[in-house]
Amino acid sequence: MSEHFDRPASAHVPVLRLGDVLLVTLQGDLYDSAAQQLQEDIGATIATSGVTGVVIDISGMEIVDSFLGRVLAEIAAQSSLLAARTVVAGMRPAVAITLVELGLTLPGLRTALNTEAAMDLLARTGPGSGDGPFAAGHP
Amino acid sequence: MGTLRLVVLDTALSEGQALIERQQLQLLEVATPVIKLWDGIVAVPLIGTLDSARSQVVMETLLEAIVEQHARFAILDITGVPTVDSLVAQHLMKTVAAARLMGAECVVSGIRPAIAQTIVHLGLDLGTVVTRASLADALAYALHELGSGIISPATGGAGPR
Amino acid sequence: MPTSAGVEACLPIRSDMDLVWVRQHVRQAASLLGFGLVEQTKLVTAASELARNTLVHGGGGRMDSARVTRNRAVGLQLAFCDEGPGIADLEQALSDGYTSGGGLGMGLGGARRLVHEFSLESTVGVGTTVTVVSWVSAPPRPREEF
Repeated sequence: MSEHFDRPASAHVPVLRLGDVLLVTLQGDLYDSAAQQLQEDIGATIATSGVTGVVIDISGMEIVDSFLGRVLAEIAAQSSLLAARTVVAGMRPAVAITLVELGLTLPGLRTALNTEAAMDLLARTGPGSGDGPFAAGHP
Repeated sequence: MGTLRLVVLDTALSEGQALIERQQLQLLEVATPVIKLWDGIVAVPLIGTLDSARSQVVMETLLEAIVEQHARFAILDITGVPTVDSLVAQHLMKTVAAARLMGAECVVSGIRPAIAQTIVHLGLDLGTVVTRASLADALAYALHELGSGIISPATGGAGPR
Repeated sequence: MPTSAGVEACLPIRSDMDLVWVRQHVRQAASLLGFGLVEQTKLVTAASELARNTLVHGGGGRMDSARVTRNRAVGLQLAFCDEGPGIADLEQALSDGYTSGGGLGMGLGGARRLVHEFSLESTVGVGTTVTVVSWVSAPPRPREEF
């Protein structure tokens, strides 16, 4: 369309499996359809592979609007039904401020500072423990 | 003569106003230090009245510090804040919510009895916000959650090695 | 002083790919005008909400962006127009949690909180125009010159 838009949007997001955890890295801009596709992919992968955790790294996202916020919340809810816990990692400060101002505090969502902390959180809480982010949090 | 005096007074007042506005901006920048208390714990001691603009600066500075210091806990100490009205409470809640989205937990400390009373009287719901009476209590809470603690040599039994 | 180049634009909103162009244009325009990172993020997010609104509820339309000035302050104005069914109850459409689509019901009301000025004109059967303005640094207050 116009030559100064040099960052292409992601049309497809890969879902990586690391042991018991699915790792998804969101970057740049995302088509709505790609976000919806991702939601389906994660559900299907959990169902077939039996992983116990999902880490979604959004440190590369410059904005999260209510659409993507809803997708993240739904991924978490749907994974929970399939017995996997979801952690959203690396939200930027400007994005967090904007989401709160927008009125989206996503109370049910587990969060972590980065992917490492997210993996740590999943390992600490262990599979099958309660729903709270710090439930059974003592090592 | 009377009119002239009024004009002079008016000019002086508006110049004063401009100066105040400039200084307020400068104060915003310097009045918000973020202190690293421990690995993974940062704190902001707030002093003076919190208005909308200042709360915004506090929020941004604190969230940036959380990223830089990899802080899992952030303590907002309001010992030096004279009053808390519904607007200030709302700003505190927003900061806590934003920090949570980033993966950090906020603790509000230094709520004096008078302020606690005001909060109850105003019917403000601090809801899920973790609060502690003093900065020391907040630090102890954060350390406990991180799995460490401070043991004094006398009671803890372990002497310096 | 930044000029209007790179800020003035009229972008179509016909598909979810156009939403990406809208976000990227608003990000670039806000950055050119000197908005800080947090304000840029708020503007892009508001634009994304409003453009999606235009697409989903208005059946598509366009966004006009322009540089505006008032009392030496510089701002970015974004107008989202559609020729859709219009909004019958403005009050309800702006309230949080109200949704006629599949979202969280934060679109219009949420976008309003992310910008300095917000106006909504809608005629049932004719269309809807939402215009927002944000100012670089603080919104300008009317004040005498010294």
